Amino acid sequence: MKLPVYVLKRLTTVIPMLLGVSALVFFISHVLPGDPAAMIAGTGATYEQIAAIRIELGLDKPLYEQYLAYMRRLILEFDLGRSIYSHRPVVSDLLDYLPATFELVTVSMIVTVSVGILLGSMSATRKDGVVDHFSRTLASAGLAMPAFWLGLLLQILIAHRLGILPVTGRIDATVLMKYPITRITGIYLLDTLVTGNWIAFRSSVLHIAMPAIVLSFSSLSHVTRFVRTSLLEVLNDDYVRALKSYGLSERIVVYKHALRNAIIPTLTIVGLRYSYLLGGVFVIEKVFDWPGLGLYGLSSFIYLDFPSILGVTLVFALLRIILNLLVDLSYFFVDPRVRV
Amino acid sequence: MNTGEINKATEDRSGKRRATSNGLMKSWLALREHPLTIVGLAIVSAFAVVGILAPLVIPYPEDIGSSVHLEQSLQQPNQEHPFGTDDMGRDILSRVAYGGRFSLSAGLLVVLLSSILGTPLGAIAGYYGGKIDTAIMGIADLFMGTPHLVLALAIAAVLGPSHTNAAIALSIPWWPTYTRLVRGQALVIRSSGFVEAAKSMGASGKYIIFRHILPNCVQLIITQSTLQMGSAILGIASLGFIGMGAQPPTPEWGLMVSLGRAYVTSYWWYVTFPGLAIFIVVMGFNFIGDGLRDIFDLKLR
Repeated sequence: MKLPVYVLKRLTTVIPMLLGVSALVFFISHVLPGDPAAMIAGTGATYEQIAAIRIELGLDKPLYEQYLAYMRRLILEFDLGRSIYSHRPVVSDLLDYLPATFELVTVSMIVTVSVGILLGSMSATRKDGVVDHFSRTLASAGLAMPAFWLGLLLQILIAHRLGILPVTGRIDATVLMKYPITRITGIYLLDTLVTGNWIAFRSSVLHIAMPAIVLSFSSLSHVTRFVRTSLLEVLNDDYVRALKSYGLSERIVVYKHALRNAIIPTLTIVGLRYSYLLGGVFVIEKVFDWPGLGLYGLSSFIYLDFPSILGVTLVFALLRIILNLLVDLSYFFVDPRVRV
Repeated sequence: MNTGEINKATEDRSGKRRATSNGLMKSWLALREHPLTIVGLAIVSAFAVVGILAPLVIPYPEDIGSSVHLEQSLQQPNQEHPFGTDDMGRDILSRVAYGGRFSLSAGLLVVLLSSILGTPLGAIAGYYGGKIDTAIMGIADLFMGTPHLVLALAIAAVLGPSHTNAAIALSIPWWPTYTRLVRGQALVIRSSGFVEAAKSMGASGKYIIFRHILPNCVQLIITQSTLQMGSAILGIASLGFIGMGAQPPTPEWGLMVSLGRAYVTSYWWYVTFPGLAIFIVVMGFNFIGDGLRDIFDLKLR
């Protein structure tokens, strides 16, 4: 199969998925009890005021009509309605908050994959050694540890007691005032790097370190365990033993031949973990006051701000789907069998 | 790894398989070979006993509600208050011990709801196949495609934040996990000899599902549920932490950590102990789940 055909084939499954997810959340947020019109009107509103708001938002129409109108506006005008809470178009809200979250999740993903593969392969090659015991303990701990708790403990230890890293936020406020960041992508690490704004870059790196590590912790456990198991399986294969008997060094056998085959199943796990990382964003952004979609989403959930709830959900679903697509594409490059 | 070791490994595995086929007693013997599983069982039973007996055994039963003793607020751990006191002067040990009730019962509710919803659907999809299968799995994929916590948050927000609602909200994104697992198992059993025999004697689909397919999924469901208990407790605590679960003054662990966050700079014990309780109990469930998976020799995921 050629690459473009493959991409197209995958894309055809993406669109129904997005439509389905949006319909699901749309119906859940409208069928279950809770009245957005009453929420907007506030506690002191009269029945007439609530009714007027209901008509203004189109809430008096049948549900499927509301959904069709919503999708029509989204597709034709790229409009997700106005946030009830911030009174701004949801699309511009989302565009404001997305880069911070994207930055955080991407850095965590890089940490997860690189450290996970490293630890996993080290413990597989030295099974029952020191590194193996260490990484297995770390993995069991990571799977049981509430991320918000780990975040707070690190804040106590590393930020408050030792003063190595800043406690919360995305960048130092005084740094931002003295060395303003030119907004290109909204991703601080990228923007400061491109414009050569080293002081702001350093501040961003220091600020993202702790939240990114905490966010990646539980996924790191999964990836480490998985790489270890699949590498152990591969290391028993005949071809690995053959390579060893030819006298190739262990380093070459493991890292050039075995690991490559062990990584293929790991890719699936990485794709799955991405959606967990996205879910973790709500908790982590609250712990570290990270001004991203998680914090924005939380406030919209608390205020029952339906247009923004839908917007946030769609963005999360979209990010997840795009990543799954990228994972599938990476199979294309790592595993030649897919190309046949 | 040398060949001797491999042989030993396969022997072990077949030995375990024999053990499970010989019933519960042998399963118990197999369980004893997994020390971590025993540790997990001990942890979970300890929390369950303390949680059930909480009103009788905790040192300050009045502190589980909204009582205020400002004169003893934020005391560090001492003899009277081994875990210290919170900003209202309440005994953190009493609150953490009582909180186990909420976390364990909510976790159980999530697991029950999602398995009761997901299991029959999986059995039906797997056994009947065809259009029914496509329809059920299409819906399941839709729920799996939506980021779990986002879906749970949306439901929790609409139902109104409370402890029970958080549990209901978490079970909605989780039922497809059971549907997938049970469907996979049903596909295997459907083509087995005893199902063919039952069919040839005129057994109905309902009979086969209840008498043959579901009983053969019990190990799978128990293991998955145990592993899920850990995630469910973590999820409940996370919802409590971000304000979409239990509300004050409930002594729910996630909520307690969230309240303690304001005092994190100088009063480390406030956030540490409730979080530690979550950590230990989830670890306990994971140990049991991992052990069961090994004993039953299952491949989940």
